[in-house]
Amino acid sequence: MDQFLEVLPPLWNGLGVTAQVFCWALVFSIPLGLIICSMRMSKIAPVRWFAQGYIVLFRGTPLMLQLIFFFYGMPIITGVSLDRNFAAILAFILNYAAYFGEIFRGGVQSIPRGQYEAAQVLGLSRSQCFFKIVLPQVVKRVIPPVGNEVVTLVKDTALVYAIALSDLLREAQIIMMKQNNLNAFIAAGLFYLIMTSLLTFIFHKIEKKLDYYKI
Amino acid sequence: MAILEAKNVKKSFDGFRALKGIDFSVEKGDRVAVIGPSGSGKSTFLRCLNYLEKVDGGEIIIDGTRIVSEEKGKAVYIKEEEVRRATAKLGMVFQNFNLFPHLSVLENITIAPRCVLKREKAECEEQARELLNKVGLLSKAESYPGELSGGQQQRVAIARSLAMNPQILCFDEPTSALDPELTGEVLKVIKSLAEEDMTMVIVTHEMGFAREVAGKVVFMDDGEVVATGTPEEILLHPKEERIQAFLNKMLNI
Repeated sequence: MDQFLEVLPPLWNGLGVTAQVFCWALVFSIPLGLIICSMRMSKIAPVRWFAQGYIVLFRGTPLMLQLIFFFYGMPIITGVSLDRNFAAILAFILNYAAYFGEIFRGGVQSIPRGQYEAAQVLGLSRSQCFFKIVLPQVVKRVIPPVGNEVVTLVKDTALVYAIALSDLLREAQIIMMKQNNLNAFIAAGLFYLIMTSLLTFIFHKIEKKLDYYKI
Repeated sequence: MAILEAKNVKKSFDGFRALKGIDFSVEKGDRVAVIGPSGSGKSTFLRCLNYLEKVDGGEIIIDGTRIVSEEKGKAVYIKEEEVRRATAKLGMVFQNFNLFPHLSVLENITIAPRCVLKREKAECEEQARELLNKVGLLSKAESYPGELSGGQQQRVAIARSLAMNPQILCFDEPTSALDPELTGEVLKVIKSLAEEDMTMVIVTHEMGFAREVAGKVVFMDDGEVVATGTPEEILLHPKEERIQAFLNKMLNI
């Protein structure tokens, strides 16, 4: 029991790092995803191409490779070295924005043309149509896939061990080496489970709240 | 004077000539039924009038405003803003209702008067309830479209169009997406509007209804107007072979 309790303070520190990466990544990747989505659907071809290239690049290469690139690769190419935390968060933001951008695009494109047409014949302007008719329906439709990504993000933060950031998993690994048992891993697993369960619960609540109308 | 006029309207989709030069006019108080086989261009024409499709040539004049004219074989529209101001005089009821699923029935009806006409919420809601009463759905004001039957949804869609006080109400096959037993309630509402002298253009497959409600019937086939006349002339004593063939097919179903 003592051995089990003594794993908690370092794990707690690791949890802080994990939570930090998670929060910053989430807060910035969603708005960036919105920007990527609107660029991807732009009428101006070069803007669309840029967004397409961005998505291919960040969705088509492993997140771990991107992490390593931003931390170890940047200084070699540009001569500017990034802070370990910052490099990790930057890689997560850019990577997740690509996924969120595609989720949002799917949401916008799933709104039937008839909705736009009805708004138009009623005289609503383009922006009224977007904010009052399209967006509320898109939000409802993208909540399940966004929830999925958010839960994945919690677990993906463990990849920062590739650039030696002291997150939850790395702290657990260090303790395991010292104690020579699985206590720290089990505790870390529980921490991840608590976080993902909490997020699942929150997204479930949001879905319920938006369930006042069908379809 | 015609309140709505189309002259030689042409429209193609990727080389397919959907409208080959339609002439059409509606006077105030007219109730025009547009009939014809599937793919004859009836719906496309109605969508052109409502600016849901852009024409390739010809003219459309709504209440004195020429929204599009033809110059050197090309369609030239006036400013988008002015087109929208003119087409606001037309209401449109769609085949698939196109109600906004995230808004209650009441909100579906009040959203346009509130956002577009900038009228007071209470005033809009009062009007919406009057309209709901008219289409027999006052008790559904707080429901969401997903909770209603197709017939009820279409009646709400009619009320939603009426809330903008259109001078002409257009119907694009308003009962085609409904189960047969639900068409009656929608047709009844349209009939009651006809009795109030609402100006209407109705694209429909309901021949009996067209005969009963319309003062004028336009028969279209293959992107052209084949004949225009009274319901008796077109539906009972058609001269053209194409109309006779179409009516025979309709009756043999």
